Amino acid sequence: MLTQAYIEKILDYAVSCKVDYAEVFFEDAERTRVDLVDSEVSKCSCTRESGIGVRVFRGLECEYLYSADTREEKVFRLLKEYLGTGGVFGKRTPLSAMTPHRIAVYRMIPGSMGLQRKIGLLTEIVKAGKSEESCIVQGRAGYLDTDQRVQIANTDGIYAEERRMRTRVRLLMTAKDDREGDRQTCFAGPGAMCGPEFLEDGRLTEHAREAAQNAKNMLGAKPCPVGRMPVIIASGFGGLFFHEACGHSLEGTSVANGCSEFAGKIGTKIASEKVTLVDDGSVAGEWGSLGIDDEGILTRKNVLIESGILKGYLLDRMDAKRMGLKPTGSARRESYRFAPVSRMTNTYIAPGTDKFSDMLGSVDKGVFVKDINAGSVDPLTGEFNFNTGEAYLIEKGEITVPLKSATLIGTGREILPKVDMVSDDFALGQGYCYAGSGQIPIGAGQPAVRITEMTVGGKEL
Amino acid sequence: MTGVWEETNVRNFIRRLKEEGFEHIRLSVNSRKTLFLAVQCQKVKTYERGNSRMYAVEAVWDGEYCCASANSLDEGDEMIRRLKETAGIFGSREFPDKIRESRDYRGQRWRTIEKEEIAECLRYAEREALSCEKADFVERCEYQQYEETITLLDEDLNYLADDDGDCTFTIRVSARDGDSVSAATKLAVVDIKEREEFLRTVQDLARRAAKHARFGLHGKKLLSGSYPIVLENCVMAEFIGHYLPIFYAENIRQNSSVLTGKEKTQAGCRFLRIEEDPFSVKGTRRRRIDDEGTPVSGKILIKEGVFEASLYNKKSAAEAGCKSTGNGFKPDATADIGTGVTNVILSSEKDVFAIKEMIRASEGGVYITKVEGMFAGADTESGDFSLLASGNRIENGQVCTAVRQFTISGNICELWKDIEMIGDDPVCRMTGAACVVSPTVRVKSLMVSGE
Repeated sequence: MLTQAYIEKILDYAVSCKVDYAEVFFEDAERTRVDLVDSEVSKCSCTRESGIGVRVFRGLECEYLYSADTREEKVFRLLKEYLGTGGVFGKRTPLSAMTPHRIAVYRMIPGSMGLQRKIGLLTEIVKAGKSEESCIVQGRAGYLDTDQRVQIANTDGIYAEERRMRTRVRLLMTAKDDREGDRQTCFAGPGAMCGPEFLEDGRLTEHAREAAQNAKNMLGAKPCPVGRMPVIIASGFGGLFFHEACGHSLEGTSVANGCSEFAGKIGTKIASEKVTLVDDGSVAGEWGSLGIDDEGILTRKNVLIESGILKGYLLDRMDAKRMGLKPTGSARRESYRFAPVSRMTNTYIAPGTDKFSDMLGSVDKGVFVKDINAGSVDPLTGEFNFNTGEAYLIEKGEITVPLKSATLIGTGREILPKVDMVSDDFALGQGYCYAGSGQIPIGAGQPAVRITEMTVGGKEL
Repeated sequence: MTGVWEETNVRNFIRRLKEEGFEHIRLSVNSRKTLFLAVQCQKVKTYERGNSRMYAVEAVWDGEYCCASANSLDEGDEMIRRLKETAGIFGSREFPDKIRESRDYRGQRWRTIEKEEIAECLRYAEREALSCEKADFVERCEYQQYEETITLLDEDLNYLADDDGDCTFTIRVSARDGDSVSAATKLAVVDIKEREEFLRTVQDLARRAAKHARFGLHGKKLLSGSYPIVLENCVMAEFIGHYLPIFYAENIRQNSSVLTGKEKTQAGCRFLRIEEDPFSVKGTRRRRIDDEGTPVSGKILIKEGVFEASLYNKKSAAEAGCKSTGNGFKPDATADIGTGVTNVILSSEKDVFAIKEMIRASEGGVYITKVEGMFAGADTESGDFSLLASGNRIENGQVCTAVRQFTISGNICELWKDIEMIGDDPVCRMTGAACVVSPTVRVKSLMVSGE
């Protein structure tokens, strides 16, 4: 880690270059990644990476400089070359230590469990999945753990340190029907803000078995129908639907310059009254959490939509400054190579009161989406898409045949008012979001929801 | 030119590895420089500069392959601990070869340019876009530049050095008319050193982005059904770029490619050609060796529609009992070696057509100018895709009404087989680290889901 005196020297230099605000971000991260195909290690990387990022504001201009080489002479050469030669009298608030939320819940640090042990546990998990169903012909797993230590300090006087530990396992089980030649792969991707003891949690084996059963259930999947129809999205990572349908459009990156369909709509009704959308980066142990954001602001529970009414946005310092609002503890970045911008953390729909069985029973013909692969959105037009992982046809209130993957589309303003049922079950899933400041871990969750009608991008008329 | 092989800490570290008993040492040093500048409302919005470096070691410890990486050699003990820890975890892995002859292929791709000079060009582009009819706002007006240098060293300090990099300009313009809003993005690889040409390019892209955004206004929805389709060059390039992993031998072996078991069979129409050409002037990639030190080479992937060749790195080649094709690339500097490509080019082995002819031949069809959702909605294992699309209806032999909010669905091999015409307008698009060159294509039909 950098000494506080060194950090202060950087901040002092920055303010002497006529900047309004300066911030230092340092990280030292260790990462282990292992890919397993059946019981064979196909890829493995063990990496340690550290670096520094210095960001300054001059009015509404943001300058960001980063370097993997954190030696003083290298960093100051960069600062002098791009910030100027300094020499102007500038003031800053003396640094004062702040304590982040205690978010990482860990028993072990990643380095304390040997690589062989990690691979051994992963192999057992894959084996359990493969032996669950005789039709499973391949089991794959991807393991990732990170131990990231960050320091954040700025000219507003914030000084914070945080240790962020995350572990995740991606499990893919492939089933094959020898007679038909059909192959189906299903996926589970649990992750948490914890150490490698995650691998010893028996629930991973359950995930592997469930992925195997799902793959078996998907054998014989039929082409998805085309056209507009009711859609039910299951609880859990189905919440990615809202991440795409409105989450990105509520980030300062889009809202601050008016490039979002929801810009300037605070206080207006943008969704059905059944919808309450929350982004909360302060949930202990959750994959998308962090104790302080990457600008040194405590993460918090941000209610974005309450009973259909737009209540707020996710804002980093610069976008908040542009909008004359306060930042919301939502600034995130992949690493020191990226300047932080407003991003989601754990985003979810609050549970409702409807029963899943009633929801299902209400649909004459539609699609039940049990799992979502991923999606994307254009915040300006609000046009979003998400691709189904595991999906089934609903006929006369019953789940019938499995459906091949399809993309479902809509715009936020069109679809959010059509969420007419929200069930009382709730789960949070884990994944990644790829956007302006890189790839970051996110949580997405919801109870099961029903959308009265949306376009299903199938293959069969 | 100087290189990392002359740096004392690098030489000392390799010496230390030898003293510790490591053999077959291969040190890979990846250095990256970046510059990013964005203008909005005639003011600089963001300016970013940075340098990073990553050292990756492969070696043999106690008779077993091992590897680890770090961005500093100061923590040498840590790196050695991690190397020893990975020894023996790989079932089988080729040991790194010695470098026979030191070679330096670097071409110095970095353009030294002042911030204000770039900003001035971007302001010009923004003004040009906003001068167009119905143009409302320039959401992105960005210049980006990077240079990546890769140096491989063996235990005797023999080296291979290569580099790559480019400069790109991106503009996204929104058009507005009443309640209707539409946006279009245009980008191109540019050379800012040639200022007049650079200004001409950004002007052209700015105007085209504004025009396309205007064309997208008041977009109508389509009725579901099967339509003749014309895929614009950049859309087809995006398809090819996304589906490149289907040619990777590791994926074919693991049954995670739609081309598994289809070697030497018809995978496209009889005049479809897809090749990798690292030396093509049409492409922007300039690598001469891959990340494993194997020379890159040209190869035909699909010839007359027949799937001809897979792409190998050293590991997948050893598993198949053949030689690497020079396609051992890392997806990022910290990752294990995977498979990658340089320049991939789609072309016709027969006639090529002007876009007007292709439009005329597609009466009642749809001209697709944009697809979204490729990352999730196009599966390389089955080849199936289902994507959000937008474009224009084709009526009376012309591109007319804007259409949006529909999906197109199909399978990549079926799409290749259904290609009926290939255009004369190749465009180059970056997809990850690869450069894909593709012209516009006319496809017999695709399923559309709309109203």
